[in-house]
Amino acid sequence: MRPRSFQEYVQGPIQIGMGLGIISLLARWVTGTTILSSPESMVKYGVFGGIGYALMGAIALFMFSFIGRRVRQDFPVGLTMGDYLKTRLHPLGYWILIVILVLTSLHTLFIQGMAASTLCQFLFDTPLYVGLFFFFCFCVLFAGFGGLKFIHGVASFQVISMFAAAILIPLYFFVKEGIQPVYDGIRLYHPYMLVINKYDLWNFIFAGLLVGFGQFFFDLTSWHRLFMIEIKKVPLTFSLSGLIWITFPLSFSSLFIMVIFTGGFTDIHSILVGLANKITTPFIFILFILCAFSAITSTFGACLHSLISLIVANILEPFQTKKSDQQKIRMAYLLSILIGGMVFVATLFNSPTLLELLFYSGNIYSALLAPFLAIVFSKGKVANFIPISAVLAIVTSYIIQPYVSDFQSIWFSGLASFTIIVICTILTFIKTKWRFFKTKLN
Amino acid sequence: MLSYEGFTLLIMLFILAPIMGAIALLFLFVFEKRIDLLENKNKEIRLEQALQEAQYNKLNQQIQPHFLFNTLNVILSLARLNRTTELIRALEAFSQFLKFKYKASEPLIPLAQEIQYTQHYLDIQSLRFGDRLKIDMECPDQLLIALVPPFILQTLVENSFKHGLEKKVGEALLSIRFYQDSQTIYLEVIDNGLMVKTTSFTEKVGHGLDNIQKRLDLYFSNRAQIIISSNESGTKVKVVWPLVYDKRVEEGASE
Repeated sequence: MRPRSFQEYVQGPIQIGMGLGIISLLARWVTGTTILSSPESMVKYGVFGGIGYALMGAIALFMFSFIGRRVRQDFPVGLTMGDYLKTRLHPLGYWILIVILVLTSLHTLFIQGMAASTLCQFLFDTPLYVGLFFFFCFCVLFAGFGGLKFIHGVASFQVISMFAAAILIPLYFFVKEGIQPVYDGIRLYHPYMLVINKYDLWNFIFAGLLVGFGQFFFDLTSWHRLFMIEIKKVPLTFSLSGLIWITFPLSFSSLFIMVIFTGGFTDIHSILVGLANKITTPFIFILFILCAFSAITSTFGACLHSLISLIVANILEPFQTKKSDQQKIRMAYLLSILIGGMVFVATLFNSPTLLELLFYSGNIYSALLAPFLAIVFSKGKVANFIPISAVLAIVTSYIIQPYVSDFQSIWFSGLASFTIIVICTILTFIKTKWRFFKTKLN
Repeated sequence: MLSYEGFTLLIMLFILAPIMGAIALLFLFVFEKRIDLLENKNKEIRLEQALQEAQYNKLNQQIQPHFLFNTLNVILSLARLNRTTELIRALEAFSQFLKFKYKASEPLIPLAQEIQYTQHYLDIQSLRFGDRLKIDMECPDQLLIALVPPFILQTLVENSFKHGLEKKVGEALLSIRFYQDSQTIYLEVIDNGLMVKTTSFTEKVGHGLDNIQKRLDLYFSNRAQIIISSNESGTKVKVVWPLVYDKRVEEGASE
């Protein structure tokens, strides 16, 4: 059924409570990246790498509950993150952050596209574009054309299938194999995974926290959900979402331990192939595929829908003031096809690993953290130097990236934006005081 | 290096975590509506209480001008009769009375305060009636710190004068008696005035008693009551309400 108004397309017909709010947030945040990157971080940084990955996401969601409460107190009614930014920033700063938001959202869509491509390669013998084409068509139809009502309708089923897989598959494997052989196998083939005080692990966790905070705080879909949850339930919904979310990466990590304990692996694809060989029961295999498909489509759909809403409500609307609701909805449909097509093409011609992709954007998210906190916790409109600091930090971090490690460039990026904000704030303070002093002298 | 026991614990955590997550989510789905319902009911009760409090305070505020009006009439009649000395003393008593103005926000006050407040009114009336008026007041010491809705005694005394003693020729007797029976306080106000024949309760007791009845109902619901009996020899009004003490005063007394 077609939504009656653009607001209904963006926010659905009613404000949602805690239960549906958590389902909606889980549908967004249990992603293809969660399924694949969490085990990847485990095999790279040890068992505690997987736990660290889970922790940084959960802490970020938990922290967002404080930010969410503050935002809703200052700005109780809104559709998108753009609406809030418009009230807190001057035009230049606003447009800078809107451009960054669009780019980061496209990047998130691209990451999900990559996860879908991995899944397609794993599942089908057909050329990649065939599987990907059907995946993108499905996402554009259910999220772009269906609107939020349809997204939430599908989200319940998606979250149930993800929970079923997260509970049943590891349980099945460990009951079947036992823990002792798995431990012995890991000790024999991958002893580095059992090392606790790995230097790289702490680098990974701290850099991950910076990226995770930036990513969760600067995510269009989280903001979108923030405005549709009942105001008094916002803090608890986000905190509980963080607590429940943590269970997914932990479960998926244990799943991949099952695959690698019998031998070595070359990359994430070889782990997936190993998993396929391990899963001999059709029910478990279907459950895993359903879970992966649900995770990727729910995230892609939610992000696509939020991005379209932002573009129509905050980018196109200021230029076309007299658009009716139905015209806006038609525009949203058109945009969903365009963006879906764009990401489809980009996914076909690129193939970096998922963790690389995550840290490739790490500089951006890390640089956005300090400006974002400054915007939320300041009073009134904030000065343009705050969003500009993010741009400067991103540019400089990418310039120095070839000369330092990934983690170092992430830290540099976060520190750079923070330092610029502190220096500019001190300078502004001195300038104001000087002016006041001068006026008094005259 | 992680030991086998540590590894087992971790795997247990990995397996149990999603089960706990699913249970938490299920619990939320099942109980969220019930919790909302309870919250709304709680809110409704609090609103009702606030409304009752507001009604109660309104009634408290209503009775004060009513009493002031009657007192001023007494003073006016003294002025008309050129009884200057009594008038001056009446005004002194009246100023003392105003000094003890009640705090409107307090729903209950100690009995001692209520008696003191009424005493100023009785002082004014004594000036008017002179030797004709005989007042007999009895209140056990332990009841002085018991709590009472404000203006109860004062309204009853005022009614005794207005409806009975004002028209009485000869000696005017007023007996005020407080006593306690288990956890209940009794107040009896008896006068030997002439009761005018009336048809209905509200007409008979007037605005003052109606106000007392409403406030007692609001505060003590059916645990409080007013009984009025009247005959040729006078009127007896009996008010019954539960014994309540101020916790702060009680604590002070025990220390």
